[in-house]
Amino acid sequence: MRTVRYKIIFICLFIFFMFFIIGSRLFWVQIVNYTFFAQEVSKQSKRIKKTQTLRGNIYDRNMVTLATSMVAESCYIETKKANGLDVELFSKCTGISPADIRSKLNQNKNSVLIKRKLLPDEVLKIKSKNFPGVYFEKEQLRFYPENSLANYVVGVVGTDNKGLSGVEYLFDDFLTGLAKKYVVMKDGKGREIILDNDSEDENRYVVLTIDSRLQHIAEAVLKKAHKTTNAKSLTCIIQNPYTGEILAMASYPSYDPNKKIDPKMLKNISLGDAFEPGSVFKIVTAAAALEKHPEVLSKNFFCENGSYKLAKNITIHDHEKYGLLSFQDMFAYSSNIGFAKLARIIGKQDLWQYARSFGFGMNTGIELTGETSGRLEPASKWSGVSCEIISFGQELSANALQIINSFSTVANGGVLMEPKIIKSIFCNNKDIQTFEPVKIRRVISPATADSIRKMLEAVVEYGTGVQAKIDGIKIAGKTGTAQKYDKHLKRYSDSKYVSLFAGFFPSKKPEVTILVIVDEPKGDYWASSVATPIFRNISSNILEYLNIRQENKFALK
Amino acid sequence: MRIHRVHGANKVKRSGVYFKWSIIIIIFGSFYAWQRIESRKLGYKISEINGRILSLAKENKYLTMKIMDITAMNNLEEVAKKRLGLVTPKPSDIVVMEELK
Repeated sequence: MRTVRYKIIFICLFIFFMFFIIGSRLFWVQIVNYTFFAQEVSKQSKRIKKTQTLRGNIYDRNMVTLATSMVAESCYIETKKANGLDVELFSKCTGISPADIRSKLNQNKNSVLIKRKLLPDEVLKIKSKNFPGVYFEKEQLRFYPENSLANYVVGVVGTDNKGLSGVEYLFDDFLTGLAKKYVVMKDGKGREIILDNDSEDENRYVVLTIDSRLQHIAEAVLKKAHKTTNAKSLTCIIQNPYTGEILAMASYPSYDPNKKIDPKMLKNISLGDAFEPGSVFKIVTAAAALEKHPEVLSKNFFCENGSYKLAKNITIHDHEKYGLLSFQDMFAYSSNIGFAKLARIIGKQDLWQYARSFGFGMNTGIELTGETSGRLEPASKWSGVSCEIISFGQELSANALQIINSFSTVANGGVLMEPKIIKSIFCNNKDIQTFEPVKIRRVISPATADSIRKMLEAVVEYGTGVQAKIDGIKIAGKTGTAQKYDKHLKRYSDSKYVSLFAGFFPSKKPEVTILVIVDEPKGDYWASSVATPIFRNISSNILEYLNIRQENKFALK
Repeated sequence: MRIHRVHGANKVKRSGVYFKWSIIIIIFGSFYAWQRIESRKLGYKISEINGRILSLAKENKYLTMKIMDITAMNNLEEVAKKRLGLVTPKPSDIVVMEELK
């Protein structure tokens, strides 16, 4: 009995002792060293995860989406686990040839990339087949819903989602946004619980001044015109003359940013190409003459019947043979000889001064990168005949934006405005920055601007720009045909021309300024028959959209 | 003998108190464990729902993009011209209806 009792006591003591040890250990772990062990557990089970928020959208002025982002998945294969992969079926699902898949699998790598940025439909199709060794990694896909619309302004991103051109490049950091952090806890089975979200999803976006409808009209007309002109490139800019806002900036040939792009295509021709403006520059010469020598308005100029020797080896010509012309007719018929004579009255210093005031030879201040400032040598470096030649737009170069800005200056009554392409930028629907119109300087008086406006009206009424005429709308505009300088021949080319038409309407209270440039048209190259009809097509298509009423138009009441 | 009986009654009384405390501790302990398990379960559920929300948001975005693609001006124009045979009106084709005042 006693032995049994001792045995029971012994077992009880033993159990008590064991519990004591466990209790002591628990006391040590849970109470004395609680902080240390809690940290260790936290280290092993909790993780801070980072996810990149989706790249911000780009909208036009009416909030039409021009660029957006979504999550896509890239498909990889773990080569060691890919035994028994049905290559033919996998090829059908991914759209990659069986030979390419086999060569990727034989690359002696643990994991190979099969296809990047697959759309959800494609991912589902592949996942449903349960291919061995196939796995997916999330990535961002940049999508341009309007395809090629305003692509030179919007720009594109590379495969790493970094902006390469246009607004995508300019606002790359802003659109990329910040990485979002959150704490997750993982259990033994690898299941995750989100414990803490440090921030909400940021919604960053950029609003452009572009009007996608005007942009679409401009692009469609240029595309059509390319078929008839076979030009190297065509450009059109539409601007609000009072604010300097660019409403459309189109070029053709174009590209679809949703597809693979040739890097050479990324250059924005409207900003990056400089060329001699030709006769459209005559508004600068005319403005300088009217400001400094207002008496020229009532003068007549003898235009030498189409041919005039400026210097020993330099003879200039007019398109037609003209005799005595008034200042307005000289402008309407675009006589180079008349303008050369006018330039002598103005003098080189004043002509240079006005060209600079109109913004030639310097950057316009637009937010986009890649702008060329063109070339306008200081008057001190001009040769003996430079003043006469520059007066009709040769011996200097300009980009498209500088030319349209000079026409907008006349259209708004004489103030040079800074061209704008960004309207505002937003973060979480809060307006971070609005880009207000900026007046650069007053270039000419309202009276001079009005006189030039009347002369530009005459160009369209009976001069070189008659093909721009639209019934019931007063259009003010100017043609320009410039020979291109051939670097190899070191002289002006006989076969390469730039054909331009710039104008605004309704001329008394302009709504828009439009510039059309046709670079190296094949066959006919005169602006009056190449660029002018394109201007007319664009103008007639945008009238209703801009709600510009034709004066003689029949209206039902 | 009387003293011994009183001592025994105290013992019974004391063990009753221990028992009650043990029950209370067990109840509280069980409640604590249950609450921890439930919160963990809810955590999994929340994570699962979050995952579904993300996947639905992704699907929604994809469908929105498909709509944008279909309603892009170029596509609409192509459908209007090629499938429906519509043409862009010339300014002379448009008659303005003025409101009577």
